[in-house]
Amino acid sequence: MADLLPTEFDVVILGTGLQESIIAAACSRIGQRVLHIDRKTYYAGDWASFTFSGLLSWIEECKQESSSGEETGWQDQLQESEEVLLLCSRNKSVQNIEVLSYVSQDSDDDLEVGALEMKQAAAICKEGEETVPVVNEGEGCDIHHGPSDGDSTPTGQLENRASDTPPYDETVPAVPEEGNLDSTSSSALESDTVKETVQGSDLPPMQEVCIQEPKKVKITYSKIVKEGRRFNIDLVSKFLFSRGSLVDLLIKSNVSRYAEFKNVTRILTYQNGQVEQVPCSRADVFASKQLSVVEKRMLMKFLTFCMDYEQHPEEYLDFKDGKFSEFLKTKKLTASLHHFIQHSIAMVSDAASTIEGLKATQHFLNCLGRYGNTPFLFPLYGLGEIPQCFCRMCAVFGGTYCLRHSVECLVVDKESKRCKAVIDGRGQRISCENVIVEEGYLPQECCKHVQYQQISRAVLITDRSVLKAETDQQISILTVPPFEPGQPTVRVIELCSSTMTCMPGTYLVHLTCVSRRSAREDLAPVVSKLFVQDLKQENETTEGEEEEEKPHVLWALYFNMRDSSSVVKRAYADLPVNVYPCSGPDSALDCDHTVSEAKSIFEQLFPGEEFCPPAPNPEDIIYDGEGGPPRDAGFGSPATAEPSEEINAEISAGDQSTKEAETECSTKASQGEDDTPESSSPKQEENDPPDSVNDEQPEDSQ
Amino acid sequence: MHGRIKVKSTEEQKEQKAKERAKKLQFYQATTAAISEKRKDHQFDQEVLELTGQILSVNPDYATYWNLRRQIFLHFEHEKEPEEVKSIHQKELFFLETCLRVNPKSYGTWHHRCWVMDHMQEPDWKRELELCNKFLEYDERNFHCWDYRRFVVQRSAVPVEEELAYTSRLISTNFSNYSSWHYRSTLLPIVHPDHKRQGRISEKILLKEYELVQNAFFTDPNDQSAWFYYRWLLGRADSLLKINCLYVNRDQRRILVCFSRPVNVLSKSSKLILFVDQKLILPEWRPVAGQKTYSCVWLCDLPECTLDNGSLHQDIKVVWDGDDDLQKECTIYKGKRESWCRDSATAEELFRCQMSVEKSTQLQSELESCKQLQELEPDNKWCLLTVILLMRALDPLGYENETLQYFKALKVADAMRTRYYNDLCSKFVIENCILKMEYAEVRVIDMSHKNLTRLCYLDQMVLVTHMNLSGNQLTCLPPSFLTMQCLEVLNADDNSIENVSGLSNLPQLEEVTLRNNCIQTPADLQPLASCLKLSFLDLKGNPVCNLPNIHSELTLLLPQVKEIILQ
Repeated sequence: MADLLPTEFDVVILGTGLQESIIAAACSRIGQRVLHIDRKTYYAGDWASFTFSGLLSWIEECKQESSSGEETGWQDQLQESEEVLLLCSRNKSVQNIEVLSYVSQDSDDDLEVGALEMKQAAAICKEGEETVPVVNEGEGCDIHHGPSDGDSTPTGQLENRASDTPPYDETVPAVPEEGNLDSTSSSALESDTVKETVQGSDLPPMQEVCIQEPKKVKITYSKIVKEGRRFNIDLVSKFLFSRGSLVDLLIKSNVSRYAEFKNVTRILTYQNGQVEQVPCSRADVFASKQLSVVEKRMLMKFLTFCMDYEQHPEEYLDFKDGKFSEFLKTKKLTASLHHFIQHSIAMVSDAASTIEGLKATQHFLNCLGRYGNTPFLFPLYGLGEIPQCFCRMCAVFGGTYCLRHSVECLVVDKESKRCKAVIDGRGQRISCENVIVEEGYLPQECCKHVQYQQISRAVLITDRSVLKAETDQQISILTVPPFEPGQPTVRVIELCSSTMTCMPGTYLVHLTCVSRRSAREDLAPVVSKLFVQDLKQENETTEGEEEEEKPHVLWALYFNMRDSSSVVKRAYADLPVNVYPCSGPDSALDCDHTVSEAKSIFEQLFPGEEFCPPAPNPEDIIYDGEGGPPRDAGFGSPATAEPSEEINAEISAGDQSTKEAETECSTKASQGEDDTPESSSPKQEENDPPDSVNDEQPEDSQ
Repeated sequence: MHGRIKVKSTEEQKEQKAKERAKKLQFYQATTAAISEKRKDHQFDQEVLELTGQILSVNPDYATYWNLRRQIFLHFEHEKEPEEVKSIHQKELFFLETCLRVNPKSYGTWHHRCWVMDHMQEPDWKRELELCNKFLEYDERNFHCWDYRRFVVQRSAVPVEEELAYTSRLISTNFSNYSSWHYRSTLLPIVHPDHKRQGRISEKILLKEYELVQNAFFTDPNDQSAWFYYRWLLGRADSLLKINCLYVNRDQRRILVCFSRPVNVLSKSSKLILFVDQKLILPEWRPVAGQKTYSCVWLCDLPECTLDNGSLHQDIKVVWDGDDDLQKECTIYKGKRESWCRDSATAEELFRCQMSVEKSTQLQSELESCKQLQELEPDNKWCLLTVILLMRALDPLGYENETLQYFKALKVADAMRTRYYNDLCSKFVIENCILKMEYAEVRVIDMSHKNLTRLCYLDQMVLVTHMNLSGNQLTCLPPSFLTMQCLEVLNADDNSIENVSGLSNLPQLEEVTLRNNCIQTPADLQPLASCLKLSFLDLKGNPVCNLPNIHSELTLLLPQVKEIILQ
């Protein structure tokens, strides 16, 4: 226990999810001493992004029964006037985990695999029992990995070694993990896959090897594992609206300098069994081949109206109290336009009111063109980057960080019902003024009256895009309305490898919906409509067929996640007054709810203080006191100093990176039709001097 | 204890700014002074290059310094090794790029870049094209850059097809970019020429372009760039120079030649040659419209007896510039007063192109969809105007009434341009009148009660003898009226004519009625004095009639007129 934490903070924050991280940054920004703790080994909690092996570890971890830690002896540290509120030791926000693998399982060289995965792979093999060698996967041929930018030397080496492996591999039939799902669905699936396996085994494997001249590199399980570090798989799948509150906050606070984004390239829709691209920007509508010119006009006319619908009350007032879908019917739109607008642009359900629909459409349109042809941004390396960026900002302003650090209990003053301190897993008492706590840390007795919603999630690794395009580097969002009434609307987000979330040659597909049943039950119908889920990809014989086919699922993960976004603070029983619970991710596409909650908590804590004001440029920071930046944030603890040192390094190199961020911001902004305020402000000063020189020019020229 | 933000007071900031300004000014003045000093002494060296560079990088519009730099470079070319000059040029290109970043619309900078590229050994044109791409990405309507792009394309012979593909790309990202559309309109006739019509594109491509541009204006009907491009697509071929008409009048011993475009017969470089019975005659040509040098219609008086040699027929031929295509012949028979040879406006496709079935079907469907768009956007002026243009391209006479209806709607939708639309409508109506006259094969043109606000195509009416302009809104009979050399009877009643300056030197004019117009003074009628055959003039209902002694004044002014009606 050499690395004890300081014993006094202003704010202690438990959990590094987005909401907690934003609050951490905001508090630190106004000079509060912040201790930010996460019991996990990684940042961002339920918002995290994982490499493939990281995800497998996470799956294991979620399945483990709670291991009750040893007593830490917090009793000694209490005074008489105090009582404790024991915190929940592990998060139960995720359930119904199911893993399905559809790729050949050549287990010889799982080089990137950690111990956990080995265990899991073994488990799968055991379950599969008769592993059938189905087909060779073309090991010998050239492996194209798209542009390898030289940053992948270790994986490159691994590949070379991989080509030394035997020419054919053994394939394991897809087997569902035995999670806590209900037995009927899983057994049904099992029999399905068994059938496939039998089909597969009909083919004489050795012949295949000789005949087939593989053109495309087949993705095998071991390949996914080997390239696992190229994956950044989000637990929560969201986009940022380019004029949404999160983007505004990132820009306003200068946290944006820590992240990079890509513009989402396509909005897709599923209609009449077909995936189609939705034209939504002016350029899209112009270029669209699927709309007739008259439809183009109708669409543009309607969208133009939505841009400032408030100005034209005569158009919608009569339908104000009705449903948006009914309102659309009165607008002389064709069925396909109606579908586009409701599901892909407004992205509202049939039940949404006219005003909701109009507002959503307007928001979508306002966001168009700021950074590109769609209204959405996606952070490179996954959404899990964003909470970390806020943590970094917090650390830059002196926040102290501790991962894999649990907190046992809150110390509450009996009389005032205020939390005075926390006691961590090492028995250290840390006093504080306020506690921000991720909702999942709260003890069960606090949450017994709380009603949670659930989010159904699926993560698929696929071999091609759901809609072929000129370039294979597309980031797409597809809204699939319910096939039957009562089913949820499913949001599908497909990420390409240039988002740095999956290995080249694969796509990472996230499905999200509000849960009705288990994730698998909710999402499987959509998955089966959009994707092929069998081992057939191994047996392809005709090449022409391949072009037409739907993408194959290589690997799939289903799980349900708790959605605590609608829980209000007073629903939690017996919380000390200065303890603020933070909700986890919600099912919405954007992060607006999280941002507004973070803001409201901050404002309760510090009324009148500015929420995340722009961080100054590093050169504008002066360090009063003994001179020199407080590298250790004033504390002698080496463990806690680590993150902030890293960020201080960033600061000294910050001059350049800030400029880059600025130029990036302004070039991006200049693509948009209108000027964004933030792009103009930093430029102003630079422009001034040359102008003034011009003024004086007439006197002395010629 | 934490890092705090330095906050500067506004006073402090102001002071600092003022200081910086003063420092800059001082630097600027010192540098410019140093440069002019060196320039006086003709010191064209590296140092001047650096000094001017310092100034130009903040103010790239200082043209003198660009000139100075060019002088230095020329000087270097004599003095230094080619390798060294090359690297200096390279550096200059780099410097120019930084200047363009400061001001991408500086004439001097772009011009200097052209100069450097032209003076470079092994210029890298590919890089220049990429530079253009960059700058056009940044501002797609920067015409400086477009100009430079054309310069690069021309110098490095970039395939036209590639440039065409480039415009397609730009248009697909943002079609509100007339620069791209325009560039496209200059490239298409080169890549896909229509061999029959100069400056036009082949029909197959034309149909594709219609589709493309239609997508644009349906997407945003208020964007004018697409509509303008559409008008270009609907346009006619550049008219070739031709002799449209040759007219001979025996009584006046006069020859009249009409060209399709104004020409200057009197210029030294060209010649209009006249043969009568293969005998070369060198008459004195003059334009009908007074002292102008360029004119469509030229006339000459023949020497006496040229047309009266007693033979049964005489052949008259004019040749322009010795070109076979530019000649016209006609024969005048014994006993005939006049003779002519004329191309009809219909045959010449002056007002309308002959279209293949495919194209007219396409245009027909274009018209249908524009009408559909018009229903969706009833107030869109571009759409209304295009409907009119399409109807004219398809069948000007068949759609005449409908066209007028659309003009009415157009004037309501865009009241500010009423007069423009009136004039445009007049033009179309006159075209129709000419077509009707030609179909009827007469020399009488009836343009009465057509709401005409102006006259045009008068050079197409050289042979007209009777003209009815009554019941319009004309305010003058302009000088272009002079081309109506055969006009005998003119009815211009019920207009608002104040000015009859065009009614002069019309040798055949006998009868003019100008009832209910706005002629104010006898002097306004002065031009008529030169119409020697004029014998009847009706001025009833004009202000001039109310003047005292008007009758005698007019008799004095127009002695040749036998009958003047005032009341």
